[in-house]
Amino acid sequence: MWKDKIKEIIYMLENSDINEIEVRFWFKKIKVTKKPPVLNVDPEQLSSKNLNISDLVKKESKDLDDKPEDLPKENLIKIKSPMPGTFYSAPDPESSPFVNIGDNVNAGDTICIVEAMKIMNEIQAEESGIVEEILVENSSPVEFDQVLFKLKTSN
Amino acid sequence: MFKKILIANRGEIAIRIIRACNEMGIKTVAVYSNADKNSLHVKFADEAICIGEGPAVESYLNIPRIIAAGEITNADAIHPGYGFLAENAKFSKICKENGFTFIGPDAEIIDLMGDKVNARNAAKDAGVPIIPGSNTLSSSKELLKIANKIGYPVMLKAVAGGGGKGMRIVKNESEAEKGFNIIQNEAGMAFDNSEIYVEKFVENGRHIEVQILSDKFGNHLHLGERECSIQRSNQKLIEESPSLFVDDVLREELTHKSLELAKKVNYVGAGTVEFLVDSQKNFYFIEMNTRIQVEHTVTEMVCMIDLVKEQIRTYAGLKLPMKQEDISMNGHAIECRINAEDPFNDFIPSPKKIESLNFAGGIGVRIDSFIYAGYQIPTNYDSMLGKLVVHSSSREKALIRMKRSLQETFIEGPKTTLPLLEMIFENKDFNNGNFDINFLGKFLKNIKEKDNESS
Repeated sequence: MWKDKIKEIIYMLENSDINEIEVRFWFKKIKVTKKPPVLNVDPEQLSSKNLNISDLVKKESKDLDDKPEDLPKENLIKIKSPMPGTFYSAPDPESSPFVNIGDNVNAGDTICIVEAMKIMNEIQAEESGIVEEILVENSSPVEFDQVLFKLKTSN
Repeated sequence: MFKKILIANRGEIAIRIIRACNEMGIKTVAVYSNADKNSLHVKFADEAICIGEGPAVESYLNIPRIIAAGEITNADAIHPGYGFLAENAKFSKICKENGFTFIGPDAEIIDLMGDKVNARNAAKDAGVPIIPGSNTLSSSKELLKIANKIGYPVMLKAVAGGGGKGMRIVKNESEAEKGFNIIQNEAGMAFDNSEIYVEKFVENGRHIEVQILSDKFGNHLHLGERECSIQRSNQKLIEESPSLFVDDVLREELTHKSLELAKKVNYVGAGTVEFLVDSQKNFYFIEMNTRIQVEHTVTEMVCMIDLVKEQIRTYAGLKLPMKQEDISMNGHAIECRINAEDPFNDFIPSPKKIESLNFAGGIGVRIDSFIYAGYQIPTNYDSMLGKLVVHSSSREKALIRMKRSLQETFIEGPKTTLPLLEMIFENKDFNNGNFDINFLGKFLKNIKEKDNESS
């Protein structure tokens, strides 16, 4: 059932000039792109299946429940939200953000705030590194375990 | 009316509530744990927020995280379902303090009914018969004194008890002191409250409960009774409405007393008053549940009233749209609980992957479930997979319909209660309505003995 569905989607994609297709089928999301997917910016995509045509053709029998490997490169660590709440990149609206892309952070530095039930929970970097990516916009809602930052570590 | 309701629960009841909201035009927010990423309630809701790891204390029992999920999604009410935080007075209070309507009673009523001694006294004040017994016991000496007065056997119970825990039968004087100490310790560990009390043990009783619906304007309705005597260690397995055992005189008394209690405590929403009825049709108050119950479905089928919708409406401050005389009970409904347990091996949980399944269908059949082929049952939660409910014009016809529906239903992967249910529906005593709360225990014992003889 799954193979047929994916083949069908690939066929549709190859015969069109659009770049990617995402379908919902039996409560699973399948996404097929012509070019390799860009690094996830949307948390939704973290749980969806990012499949690449060339990969698929080679190993079609690959277990579809496998998590997509969205971090193929060296020494990137994810900092995740420990609770659902509202993400704040700065200590207050007037201040500048705790961290920007390219900043060096040390383990234990506060890098953002997640507010839940009117309590400001400061989130610290677990390791030292350079901020590679900030995945959440200021004052937007975040879920438990949602990736907030990616840090490039030296080791 | 509410615009968006957060459902602080999972499984079939979360889906049940989402369905009611969908039909009422209310948006829904599901919360889920990491163990429930592939659960159906997550897919059915308009929004879903992950709130923590699999263990319930880190997710479905974690009040700050549920409130935070309500805040980031702008929900205006929180429905607790049953179990988890449904009868947690602190949760009711915190919801209110944070600007959410809790779809359940105020903390004071939950506290009153959650404390079994207070609940007994409230029932007594409302004129509801209670089992002869005591208030909180101060010592084993006091237990001896009271037990001698009311007569053995007696049942020791935790004041904060529930769900069949913190209970012990004491048959005679020599067991009293030991029983007192054991239950006091057990209660302290299980409920963080070591207070206990004693009641006369009613043998061969039947578990009959009355469904109540109340609004904020002091209108209280009853929706008849449910018979829930088919249970083991206080876990219900089959429920039906009406009860074959309850005649018009008894029904009038049970429902009248239940309404008196609801009035006395100014109850709001859907609630259930539970009774133990002995073979002479004397009835005694057991407890009042201040939530929607698993078996609410059988009442819905005979009354054609959506209890979850009415529950939501009453907490939105609306008047009940019907009067007592508008409610009529038609036909007979039976519910079977399908649990992922091995019924022939001490009901050991069987949290396997559902390889394939088929649910019954056709006229008069209702399935409230959340499983699908390929679903991995998480190990963290209750083993109930769903409820199979049938309705027909009489009990005889409902029994036939249930047998037919059980034949149509199969679940491959986990062990389930389905084969046991099929056997019960072949039992003559059960079919004749000739049973009490000891039925299932004896039935299982017989199976075991026959098994041992043949092997």
